[in-house]
Amino acid sequence: MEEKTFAITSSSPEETEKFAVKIGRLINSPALILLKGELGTGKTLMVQGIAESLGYKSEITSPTFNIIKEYFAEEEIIHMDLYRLNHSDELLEIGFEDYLDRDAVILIEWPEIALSLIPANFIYIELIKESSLKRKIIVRGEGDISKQLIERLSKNADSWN
Amino acid sequence: MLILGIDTSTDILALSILEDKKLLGEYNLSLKRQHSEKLIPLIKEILAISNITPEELGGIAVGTGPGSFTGLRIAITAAKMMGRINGIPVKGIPTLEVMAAGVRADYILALIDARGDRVYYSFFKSNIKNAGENITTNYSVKNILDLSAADLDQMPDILYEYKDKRIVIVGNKVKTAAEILKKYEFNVFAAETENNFPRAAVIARLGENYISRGVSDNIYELKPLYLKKAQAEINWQKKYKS
Amino acid sequence: MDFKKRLKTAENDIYILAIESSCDETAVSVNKNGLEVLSNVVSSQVEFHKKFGGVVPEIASRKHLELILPVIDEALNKAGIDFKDLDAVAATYGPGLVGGLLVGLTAAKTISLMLTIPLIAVNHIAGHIYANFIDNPDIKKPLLCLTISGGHTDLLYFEDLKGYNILGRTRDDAAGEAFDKIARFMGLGYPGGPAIEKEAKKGDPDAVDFPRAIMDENSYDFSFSGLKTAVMNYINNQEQRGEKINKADIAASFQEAVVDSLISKLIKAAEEYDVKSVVLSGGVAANSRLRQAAADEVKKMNLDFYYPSLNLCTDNAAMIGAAAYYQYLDRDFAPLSISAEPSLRL
Repeated sequence: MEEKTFAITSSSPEETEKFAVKIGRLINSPALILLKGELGTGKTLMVQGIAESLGYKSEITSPTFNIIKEYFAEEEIIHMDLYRLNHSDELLEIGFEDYLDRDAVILIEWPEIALSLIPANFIYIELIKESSLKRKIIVRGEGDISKQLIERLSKNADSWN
Repeated sequence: MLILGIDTSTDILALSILEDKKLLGEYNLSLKRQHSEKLIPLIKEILAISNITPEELGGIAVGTGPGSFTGLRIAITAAKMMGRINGIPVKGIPTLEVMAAGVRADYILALIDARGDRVYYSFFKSNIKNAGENITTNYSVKNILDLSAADLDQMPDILYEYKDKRIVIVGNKVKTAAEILKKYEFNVFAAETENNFPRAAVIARLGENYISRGVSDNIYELKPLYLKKAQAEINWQKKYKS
Repeated sequence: MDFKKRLKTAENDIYILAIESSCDETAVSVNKNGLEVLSNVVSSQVEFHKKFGGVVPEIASRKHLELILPVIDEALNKAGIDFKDLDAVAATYGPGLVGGLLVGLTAAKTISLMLTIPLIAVNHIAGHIYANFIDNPDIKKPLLCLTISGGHTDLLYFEDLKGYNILGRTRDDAAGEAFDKIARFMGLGYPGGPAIEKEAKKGDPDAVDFPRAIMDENSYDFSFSGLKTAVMNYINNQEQRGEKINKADIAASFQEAVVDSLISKLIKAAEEYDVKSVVLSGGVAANSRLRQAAADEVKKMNLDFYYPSLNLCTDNAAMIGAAAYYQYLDRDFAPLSISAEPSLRL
């Protein structure tokens, strides 16, 4: 099966957030979005942009220490940061699987530890640092949800920038 | 004895009142994410319509899941409080048992969707022989395979030793499960819509069965079945973890 | 509704059972006539959240479900009354974590239904403010209240006890959130407020000159995210240069910056609105440096100064019961269909 991906290069945090706002407009809940990237590549910025286009107005900070934050905007937004978890068993304790069933937009930073529990319908966004400000952003994933997003992004590619 | 049956483990808010094996009223309402707003007003309504005051209740039966954690906690909190205030017994009943006891058969496979091609399943046997023909009342089911999660494709292996039995499948994905099992020449039947969710009247009936035999739960320890759905169908580690 | 005939006025004794479950404390109280606390039981879950360094919503919800009955029992026992003696039941309906709120609210609704008594839905932040009136029922009005905790930083003006105007609020992090984040960043543990305070006692508040939030002159709004970043940058820079980090000095200097920002707005508002008393409330009001600094400044102006006793600063149900009493007298009851509002504001 041919794997669909969409990639852009962002030259600043502002551009990254702009791209995230665009993604936010192209998705509906329920949606599962995994965000991979080293520290400081803009994962939380992506979450902020997506949440903003879903109508969430207040500040969003990374829930590294709380693991999970829930926001209520036009859609319910669940923001997880699994960086501090050591075992996938801890996912059960935090109700991870129950969250997956929620009718919400779920954004997961540092999703690696949860990969074995994730259903075949998700968007996977990878942020790669190219220089101090420049990021390569790659969108791929599994199932209809990622297929649809990538199609929509490709269609709108010209209007971007 | 008046028994109130409640289940909020699925999108359906199930609520019923049973008095000595007689059904006084039953709600089964599809109310996605509104259980917290609707449950207590509906309890008030069903009591009023049935002309019952809250203190007349003699027991509570409540669905314990598996299902939505938030949904389950709403009904269980209400059940605990009613049990405490009225000093009446409360019995928690697993959602799959409720569905299985809602159809009359010798063997019942009960399924709940666990995302993707996975299901929670539990396998039950009737407490009476020839359940379909036998007119004895007090039909109930006994769990013979404990609640766990599996892929639908694994069902033929899991149920191998019951291949020659007549099995009714209830719950979610019953048609898909029936097709898979029929391929392996199982004698299976899929239940119809009205039996494929935890019906309020069934919970109350089972609750009455248990409570009249003196079987109930400690309300201080009652909690939902917090189940793990175990592994997803594919582990994405290789593909996505670099 | 059938309880209408039995409603009491302020001349009668009114008993209210209140439930608070918005965060990581399962708390139940019985209040008599609002400000008289017959029992105030708090079961903290902090131990269960510690290893995650913050409150994990699902774990909190599970604990609330486990604890709700025993805590209600204990509150009734300590108050020496029974369900049938209650005139109303109150619960926090927001802001907070939805799972926990739903457990407390559902319990309260069930009590309301079973006993045919009114249900009162209380805003958690209002609860923190009414905590003050429990200790000081004769407080002079009008008054100014600075309510500061992990979730909010609000400056309020009260003409009397029944209503208030919001003069200012935080534009980004709440003060308590800033404490938590800095404590975690410095590895001082959770919760951050007490951890910073303890460390700060050993340090010099003037050691590092962290920025005070500069907001426009006419606004009573607060901002702590700039300060938070400044502290983190300072520590990072020191680490990069290989210098030894003096945690005590940094904690003390950070705490001082927060205290300064809060108090300068408070005093400005006290002057402008010509109030008779000033009140601190919320979890951060437990910070003794803040209390001391506020007391000094407020007393210079010859105003009465109040802060809640320690057990009322943290989340508790007695404060919810106190707020509920005034709502009871106003006949401000909630329908059984009310739902939790996680993002509720004042």
